[in-house]
Amino acid sequence: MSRKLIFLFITFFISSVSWAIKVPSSITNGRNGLYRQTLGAACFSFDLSSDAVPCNPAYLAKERDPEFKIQLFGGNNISYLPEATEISKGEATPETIRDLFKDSSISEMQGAVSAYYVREKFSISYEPYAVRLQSTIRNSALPELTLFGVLDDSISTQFASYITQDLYLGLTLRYLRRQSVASRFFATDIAIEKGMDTLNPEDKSYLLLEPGLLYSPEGFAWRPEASLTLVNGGIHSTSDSTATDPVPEVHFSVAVSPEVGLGRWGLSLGTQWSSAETDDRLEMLTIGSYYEIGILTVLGSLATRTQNIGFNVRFNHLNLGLSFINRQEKLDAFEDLKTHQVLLLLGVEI
Amino acid sequence: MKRILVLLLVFLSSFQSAFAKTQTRPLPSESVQSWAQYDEFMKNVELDNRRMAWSYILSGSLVTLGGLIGGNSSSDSAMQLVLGLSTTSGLAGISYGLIRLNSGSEYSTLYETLKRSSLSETERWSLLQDYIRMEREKEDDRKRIKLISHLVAAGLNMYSAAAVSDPNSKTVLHVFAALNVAFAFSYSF
Repeated sequence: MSRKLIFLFITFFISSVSWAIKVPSSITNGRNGLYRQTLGAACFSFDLSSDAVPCNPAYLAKERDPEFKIQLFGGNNISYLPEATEISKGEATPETIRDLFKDSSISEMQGAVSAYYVREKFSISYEPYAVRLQSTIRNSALPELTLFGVLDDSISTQFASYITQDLYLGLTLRYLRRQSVASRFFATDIAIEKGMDTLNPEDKSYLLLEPGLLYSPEGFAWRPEASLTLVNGGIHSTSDSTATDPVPEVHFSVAVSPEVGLGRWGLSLGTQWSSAETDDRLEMLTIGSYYEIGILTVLGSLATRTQNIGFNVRFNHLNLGLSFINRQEKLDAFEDLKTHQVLLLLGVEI
Repeated sequence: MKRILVLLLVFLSSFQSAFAKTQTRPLPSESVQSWAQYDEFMKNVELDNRRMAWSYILSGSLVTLGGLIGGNSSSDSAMQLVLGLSTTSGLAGISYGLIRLNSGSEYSTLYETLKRSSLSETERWSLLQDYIRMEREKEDDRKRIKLISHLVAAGLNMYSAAAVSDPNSKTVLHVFAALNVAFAFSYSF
């Protein structure tokens, strides 16, 4: 029975990875939250759900206390939230674009509001507002602007259960409505009457299926675990693919989480496959780690193109966090985009 | 952003006292069936309690120190807010750790009283079973009261939303009503 399930699971993974993408995955993957962004691909084999539901839904099968959380999540350049929202909705005017680019250092911003209810074997989350924007300017003589903006509204639910004593299966069902813009244009274009047409937004809905398998044998002090998860596999509201469609990713990771001193230390090695990724196999690897003690969790991850470090403090209803993200993404065949972000988390737990 | 932040804090301050999370006592599982087993269970609870108390004191100290140093060296207001609140959480963590270290787990008083009494093991176990049953019933009552309180608050917020004409206020009240319903839902399990 369990072999059949695993076979079906892997078949589903392979058949889902088939879309092409040009927009950076940090914009399209819809991954919000301090833990998810700081740990990157390494988060899938950690049972950490401080600021979101677990990356691998199978973890919900494990014993846990019910929690209700409301959170604000944002990165630097948060003051550009109105501009990012207008651009993603297609309501931007030439003034909006000028305001956005008047400070040429702006390259990436994000913000989200979310609410979660998590309990053993089940979770439900609602994210009515999550915006991400990335902008670049090239060639100061005749500025060429690149704008990627997405505005997400999503509701998701997770279920999980045991297959055998050590093997867990979980499923995330996510309905996502995404308004987005992906455009490259010259600064002079927006001065002419039809120029703003280049920023016409896409408005699409998705039903995403994200199954996860977890192997977590009991009785080991080091708590070894292996995780296999599909993210963003699913159905679109229209058959036409757009540059900002969420790209299916398959994540495999292994981890150990022993008790060390007064806390718990986790170390994970994760890898991912997606149609949008590079040919460089090394770039797919992420090493992530955390140390959780009392009210404090320190976490970080390292990959060829990303270096992240952050902390999270949870006590007495408050859930606070700060994270520093260094990322290098391929803008096109010739140019890389380097971004440095400070992510802030301000949450309430009931 | 500022508006959302203010609303969140207003929401917290006005609702926290009324709907504060109750410390649920870690009652022994069904597998504990005698005083001897309970005695063993409590020794482990006390060990865990000391470990947890020190982890709170240590992490609280780190967070307080980090928050103070980071807050003073940062020029970003949002970062200062997070670090400032972290400092408060850090101090609260230290205080919580000291209390746990000093007074033991939530179980300690009952355990010590029963242990020092002249009752037989059977009598101690019988008393303890009654206590556990009553605690579980009270916990159910607490949940029921909170559920009703949130549903009433949701109704009042909906009523207020219907009465106001300003669309922004209406939205805020609808959001609060939805949150109350969500909280009520969380207490229904």
